[in-house]
Amino acid sequence: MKKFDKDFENISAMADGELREDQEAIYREKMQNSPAFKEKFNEYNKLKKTVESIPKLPEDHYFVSRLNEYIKKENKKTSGLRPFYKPAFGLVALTVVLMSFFKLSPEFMDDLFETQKGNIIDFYTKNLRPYFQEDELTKDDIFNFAFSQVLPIDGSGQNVISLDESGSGASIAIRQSSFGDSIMSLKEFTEKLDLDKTQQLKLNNVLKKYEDKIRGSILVNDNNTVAVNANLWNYNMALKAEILAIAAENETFAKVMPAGLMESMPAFASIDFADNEDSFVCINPDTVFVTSIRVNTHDPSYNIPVVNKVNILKNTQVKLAPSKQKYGGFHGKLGDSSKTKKFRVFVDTNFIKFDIPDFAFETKMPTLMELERIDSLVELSMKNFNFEMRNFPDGRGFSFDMKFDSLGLPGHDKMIEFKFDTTDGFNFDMNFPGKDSGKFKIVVPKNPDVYKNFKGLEGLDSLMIFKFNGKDTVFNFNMPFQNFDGEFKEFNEEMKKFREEMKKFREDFKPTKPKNKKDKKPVVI
Amino acid sequence: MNEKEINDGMQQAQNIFNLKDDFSLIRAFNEGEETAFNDLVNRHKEKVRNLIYLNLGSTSSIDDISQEVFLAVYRKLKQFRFQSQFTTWLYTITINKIRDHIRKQKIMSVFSAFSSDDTENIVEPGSFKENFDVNEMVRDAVAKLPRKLKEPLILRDFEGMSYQEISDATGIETGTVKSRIFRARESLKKMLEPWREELL
Repeated sequence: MKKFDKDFENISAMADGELREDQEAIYREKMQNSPAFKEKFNEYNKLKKTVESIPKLPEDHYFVSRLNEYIKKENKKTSGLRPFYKPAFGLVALTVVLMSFFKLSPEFMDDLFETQKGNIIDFYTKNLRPYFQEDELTKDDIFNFAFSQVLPIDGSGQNVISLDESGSGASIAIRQSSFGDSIMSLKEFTEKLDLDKTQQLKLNNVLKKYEDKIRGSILVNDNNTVAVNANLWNYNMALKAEILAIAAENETFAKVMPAGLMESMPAFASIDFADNEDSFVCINPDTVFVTSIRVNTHDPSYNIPVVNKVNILKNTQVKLAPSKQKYGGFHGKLGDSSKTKKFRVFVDTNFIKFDIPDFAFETKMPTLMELERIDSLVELSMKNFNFEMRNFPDGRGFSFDMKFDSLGLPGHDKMIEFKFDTTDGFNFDMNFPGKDSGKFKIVVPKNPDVYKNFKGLEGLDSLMIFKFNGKDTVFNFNMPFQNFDGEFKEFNEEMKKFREEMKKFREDFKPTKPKNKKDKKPVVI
Repeated sequence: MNEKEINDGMQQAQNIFNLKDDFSLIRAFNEGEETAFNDLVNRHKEKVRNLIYLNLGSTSSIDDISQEVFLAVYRKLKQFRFQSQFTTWLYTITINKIRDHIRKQKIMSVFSAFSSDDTENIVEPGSFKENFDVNEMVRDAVAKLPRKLKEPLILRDFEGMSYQEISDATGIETGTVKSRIFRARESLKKMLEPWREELL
C-alpha cells in the first residue's frame, strides 16, 4: 500500500476516534501543515455524517407480537429431538426394522438374489445350440483333437479351442492357432499301425461317439454367449485312451507299450460322464460364469445354425479383454456349496482362457501325467518307429529300427536298430549307425516279474547302472540286483580296499619337517 | 413547570431507574421470566432491522431475517457467556443470518429461470429524477458496496460500534476493520462524486 493511502487510512481511523493518542498527535500536526490532510479529514467526517443521517426504517410496533407467534410456531415444529439427531434416529430405526425383518425372513435376500441371478442366467443361456453343425467336424478333426488337444473353430483354422495346462491345472482356451499345434493324421495312424477292417470300424465308431459329445460340448446362442462343457477335458482323455486301446490290439504296438499301463486304466466305455455333463463355462461379453445346462438334443431348434458364430467368439474376447476379469463365479442351485468356488479367467485381445474347476474332472480318468506318457509314446510311434518288426525265432524277441533324426547329433537321418532278446533275461541292444554298438546293451534280469514295481521298460530308468568302458558309444547297462547279496559283499570289500589305498596314499604324501633348519637356542639376557 | 409536567418528569426518571441493562434481562429470561426476552427484543429490534436493511438494500426480507435472528437469540440465550456486550453477540448473529440469506439467494438464482440482473440496480449518475431523494441514494450506494466493506462501515457509522466490537462481531482483525472502513469510505466517495456538492 502506498504511504499516501496509509496516511489517509489513519486519518479515516482518526475521524472514528480509533487512533492511539501519540498517532493522533502526529496527524493533527500533519493536518496543520498539510491542507490536503485536513481536507481529507473533513471529507471523512462528512461521509460519516452522511451515512449516520440515513433515515432509519419506521418502527415496527407489532414486531414483538409477530415474533412471539413465530417462536411459538417454530417451537411446535421442533420435536423433542434436536435437528441433527433426526437422521441418526431415523437410521437407527430403519436398521432395527431391517434387522428384525431379516431375522424373521433370513432366506429373503438369498431368494431374491437367486431369483434375479436365475433370470440373468436364463437370459444368457437361452437357446444354446451346438457351435459345430452336423458333419462340420470331420473324423480327422476328432482324431487330431485326441492327440493335439486342438479343435479348429473356423474354416480357415486360424482360431482354435484348445485344452491347455496352466500353473494350477487344466484349462480351456479359445485362441489363435499357432505353429506349435501338432497335427496327427488319422490316415497315417491307420496305415502305420496296419489296422484291420474290424479295428478301423471300431475306431470310426469311437470317433463318431466323441464327435457327438464334442458337438454338444461347445454351444453358442444369439445372445452372444459361448458355453463350453467343462467335461471337454474328460472327453479328450477318454477319446485318446479308447483310440490307444484299439491300437494296442495290434500285437507289435502292444509289445512296445509300457506293460501294465493299459491295465492301470479304467474301461473307458463304462465311464458314465453324466455326473459333470451339464457343467458349462459360459462366456459372454458381460460376464463369465459356470452353470448347469441341460441341452435337449431332440429339440427341433437344436440344429438350427447360429448366425455369425465365429464373430461371437471373437467379440467375446475383445469385449472382455479391457475388463480384466480374473475370476468367474459358479452359479449352482440354492444350497449348493460349490457355488462359492471361483475359477480363474485370463482374457486378452487374442485369447480367452479359463481354468477348469477341479470338481469338473472325472475322478476315474487317468491323470495328466499318465496321458502325457501316452501322448509321447504315440507321437514317437507315429514319427520314428518303423513297424516292420523282425521277430526272432521261437518268439524270443523282436527288433525294430528308429530314425535317428535328432539334428546336430552324429549319424543324423540314419537308423538306429533296437533289439530285444528274451532268450536269457531281457536284453536290449541298440546299434548306432557306423559305430561298434555290440556292447551297448541293457540287461534285464531273467525273472522281472518278481520285482513288484517292474512294469516293462518304464521301470528301467531307476534300476540301471551305467558303466563307461572307455570307448566311444560303448556302455554297459547292468541291473544292480542280479546277485544282490553277493554284489553288495563284493562292493563292501572293494570299498574297504579303497579306504586302505586312500590311507596309504595320505601317508605317502604326508609333509615332513624341513631338515636344513637348525634349532635355535633361546637368548639369555 | 406545572404539576403534570413534574409528574411526567418523575415518571420518566422512575422509568430510567427501572430500566434493566441487557445482562440483567438475559439473566431474568434464563431464570424463567419470559417478558425479559420481549424487553430485549424491543430494545434492539430496530437496530437489527436497520442493519439488515442497509446490508441488503431492500425491505423485502427484513421481517423474515430479523425474526430468524431473534429466534436464534431466543434459542441460544442460555448459552450466552456474558464475556462480550449483548449487542456484539446480537450483531454477530445478525451478520451471519444476512450472509446465509445472501448465500441462499445466490443458490436460488441458479435455479431461477428469471434471475434478476444485478446491473439493473447499479446507481447510475444522472439516472435519477430531478427531485431525487438524497438519503435513498446514499442508502443505495451503501447497499452496492461489496459485503466485506459494507459490513464494517455500517456497524461503525450506523450502529456506532468500535473497531474492536466490529472485529468481535464479524470475526476479522481490527487492523483489517480499519482498512476496510477506509476502503469503504473511498468507494462511497467515488460513487457519490456526481452529487458531491449536494452531499459533501
